[in-house]
Amino acid sequence: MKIKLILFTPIILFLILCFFLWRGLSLNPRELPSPFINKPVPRFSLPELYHSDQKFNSAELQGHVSLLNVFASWCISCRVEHPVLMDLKSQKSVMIYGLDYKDSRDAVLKWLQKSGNPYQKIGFDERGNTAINLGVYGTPETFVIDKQGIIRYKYIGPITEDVWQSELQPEVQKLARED
Amino acid sequence: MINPPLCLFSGLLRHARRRVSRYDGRTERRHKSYFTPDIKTIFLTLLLSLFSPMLFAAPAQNIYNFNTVEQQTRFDELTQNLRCLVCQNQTLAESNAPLAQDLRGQIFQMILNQKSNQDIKNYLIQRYGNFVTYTPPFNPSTYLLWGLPGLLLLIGIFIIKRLST
Repeated sequence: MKIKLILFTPIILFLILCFFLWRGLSLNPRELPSPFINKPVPRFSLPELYHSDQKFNSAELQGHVSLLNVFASWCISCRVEHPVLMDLKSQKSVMIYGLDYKDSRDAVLKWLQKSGNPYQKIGFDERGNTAINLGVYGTPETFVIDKQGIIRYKYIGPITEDVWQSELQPEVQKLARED
Repeated sequence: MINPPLCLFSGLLRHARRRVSRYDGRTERRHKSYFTPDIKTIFLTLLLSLFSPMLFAAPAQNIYNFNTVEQQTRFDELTQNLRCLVCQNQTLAESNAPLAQDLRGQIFQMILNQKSNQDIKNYLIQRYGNFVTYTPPFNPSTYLLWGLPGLLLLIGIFIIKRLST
């Protein structure tokens, strides 16, 4: 009886392997855990998009819960999430800040004028160096930042109504209750 | 360097020469119009063509001017051992994604600024996580990953021992 059990181990190991490979099929390789979770926003100071003589500093993200949304006018999936961000602005759900990634000022100003500006302030990251310091590897990416200016959550990809309700809104509400 | 098309060609030549000498030149014309490579040559060619993409896997671009050869070597080594996060199956050296180009620029600058290889790796790991390196660190979440081969070996030895007694 014991011998028989041992004979079955290869097939059992094989089935375990199959289970892990099958799990792997439904994982998204793009969803990488950000090393910045629970760490303060890396310090940056960028020219503000609308007022190039003013700055948008990372220190301004303290004192309230906010979203930092990395976007660009050339980014197609940013257009998908744009109406959702506009809704969030009109409902005053959360403060949204923008980080314009490797863009041209003219193009982004034109785009925002046409489709609306959901952002409180926009940092103009022309060469993408600030984005690298934030560990951004594509657009759109959205950071949820708490009152202390600490990154608590990161969402990669366009925010849909669904994503907002199931993932980001609970996080924002939880952080808003914190001191 | 091994080049599959060249290999097929030389195989054909060798084959043709053998045919010609065997028939002592008399039937040369008949075989000149069509000679078929033997099965070995075909297999060898197909086998070698499996490896041909490696010949073309050169760094995407090389526009960086270093002061020393040593810096250049370090740059090549680093970029070939770091993953591009946009095209996840490519290294930073191979990828032409804009982010990979930017990161190559950062690495170039850091090498010029006398940063060590470990500094540069840490810089990227801090921002993008351990996924950028191809060797996962040894920590509680990867104990199983690193330990599994040894564990399986032990299980195997155990099973063989049990079966043989």
